[in-house]
Amino acid sequence: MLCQRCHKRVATIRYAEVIDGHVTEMSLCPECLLEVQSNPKGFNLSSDERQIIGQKEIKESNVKKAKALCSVCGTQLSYIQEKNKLGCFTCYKSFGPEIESILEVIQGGSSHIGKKLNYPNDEERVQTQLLLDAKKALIRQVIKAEDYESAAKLRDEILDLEKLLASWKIGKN
Amino acid sequence: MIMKTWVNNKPIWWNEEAVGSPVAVLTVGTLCRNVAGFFFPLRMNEEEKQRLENLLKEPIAQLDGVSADDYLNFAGASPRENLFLSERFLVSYDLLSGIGHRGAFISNDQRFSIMINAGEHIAFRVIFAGLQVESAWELLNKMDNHISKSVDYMTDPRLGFLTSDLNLIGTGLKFFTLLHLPGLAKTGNIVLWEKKLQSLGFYLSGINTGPPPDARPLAIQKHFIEQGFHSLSGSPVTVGLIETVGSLFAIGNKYTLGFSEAEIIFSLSHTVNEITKAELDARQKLLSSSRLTLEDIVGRAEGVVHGAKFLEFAEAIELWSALQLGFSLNLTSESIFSLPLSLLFELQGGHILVNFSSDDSNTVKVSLMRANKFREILDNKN
Repeated sequence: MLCQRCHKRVATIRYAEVIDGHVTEMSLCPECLLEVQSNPKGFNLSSDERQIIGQKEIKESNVKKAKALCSVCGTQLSYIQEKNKLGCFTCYKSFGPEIESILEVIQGGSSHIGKKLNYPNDEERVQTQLLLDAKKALIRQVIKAEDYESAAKLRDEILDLEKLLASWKIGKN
Repeated sequence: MIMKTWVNNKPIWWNEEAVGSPVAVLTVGTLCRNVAGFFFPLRMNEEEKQRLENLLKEPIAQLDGVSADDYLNFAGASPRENLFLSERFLVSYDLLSGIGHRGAFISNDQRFSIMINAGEHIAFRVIFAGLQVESAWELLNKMDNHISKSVDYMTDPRLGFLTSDLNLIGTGLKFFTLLHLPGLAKTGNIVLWEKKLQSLGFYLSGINTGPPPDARPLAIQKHFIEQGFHSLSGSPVTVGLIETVGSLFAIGNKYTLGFSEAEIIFSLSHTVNEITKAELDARQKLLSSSRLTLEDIVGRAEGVVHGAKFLEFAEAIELWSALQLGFSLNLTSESIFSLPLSLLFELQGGHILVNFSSDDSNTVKVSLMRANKFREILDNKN
């Protein structure tokens, strides 16, 4: 592909520039790229301005994040951050980094060092619990929608998963 | 029917001597667990709560000391009748004021209880007089091992036992010891311990009367709820040291993650022993520097207990504290040598309320009965 600026040399780089909030993309050769970069059409921000915009973006992103819901039980992240209470096993997976941040503040360490029950198939147990949580959330929805056929099917699947979980007793493999 | 048995039967720990430390009133241990494959109680619907309740009842009923008949279902139960269970720390106030399928097994000797569908799926609770942290853990661990053979706990390879409340994650284990520290309170040295304990991962807090903050209201006259130690029945509510009643303080572990059960048990026992020494020293110093003042405090307390017709709870606890201090320093003129542990509980609103029928109770009668109870103990009539 030829450079979209000089139309002579081969384009090797995809260049994007934001002007007035619009993204303009071009395929450029290395020579044209140097020229464009030394004379951008956009504007440069001072470090203070960049900092203010950066903080605003972080704040907006945190507010947006705090409104996030656990995909399974519907507990809002802001509730967890305020009350330190979770709704289900999946909350731990949905909000992993945020929960780690809370634990850093309210707990004395980041790992459990006490009594342990050696359940076999750790990873499989985790996946089964996540699946169970999801199906339990789903069954609530289908019962609400009066779709009893799907509810019966889901109920059987839930029972099977519960049996599977119960089969991994401590000390058994 | 069951309730009547629990009211009439005195908890075994009421008769225990103050073991371990003369200033430790009692030790309460709570171990929380959740069952894999269920939402936490916060998000469970009634059907799921009932399924979990049924799943847990059978293995719990096989434990020594409880039977299937010892399960108290709180769904639909009268909170008025059950208020005294929270005052005895056998159930948490949250369980009492909660909604939906929930309840507790309470052992015949009231040494332990197992709450279902309170904040967590399972909460094992044990109570011992004095400082008996190791015995408390031994019993908790035994019950936990038994139940873990029948149900699958929610765990994580790194975070340990998963809980709805992030303050419990890891070991799920919370201990607190109730201490009577009038010496350290009067000399002001109690504040030095607060900072020291913080660095060890423990809290030292005052004791509040009444329900925990943000608790759901109960269908009982507020006055009766405020006349009890309900804020200690769940995760103890931390209260400023100077706000405490009767120079009573709670010391307990702040963290459940990053500390093993053995570390918590050792540190709590060790720290309480240190505080005990400091308290006894402080009492002796007060005796040598301010004997007359102490005699005045104790003498006044004796006078009030002998003469008062009505006593409010907080006032009664202050009198209890002054007399306990008097007994320990031989400053009283009484025929008994100490106050029984039971008195601290029997002065509470719910304990007095069970003696009345619902139509017959009012705040004046409760205050009258409290004053009578205290006087009888001091007159050695019980």
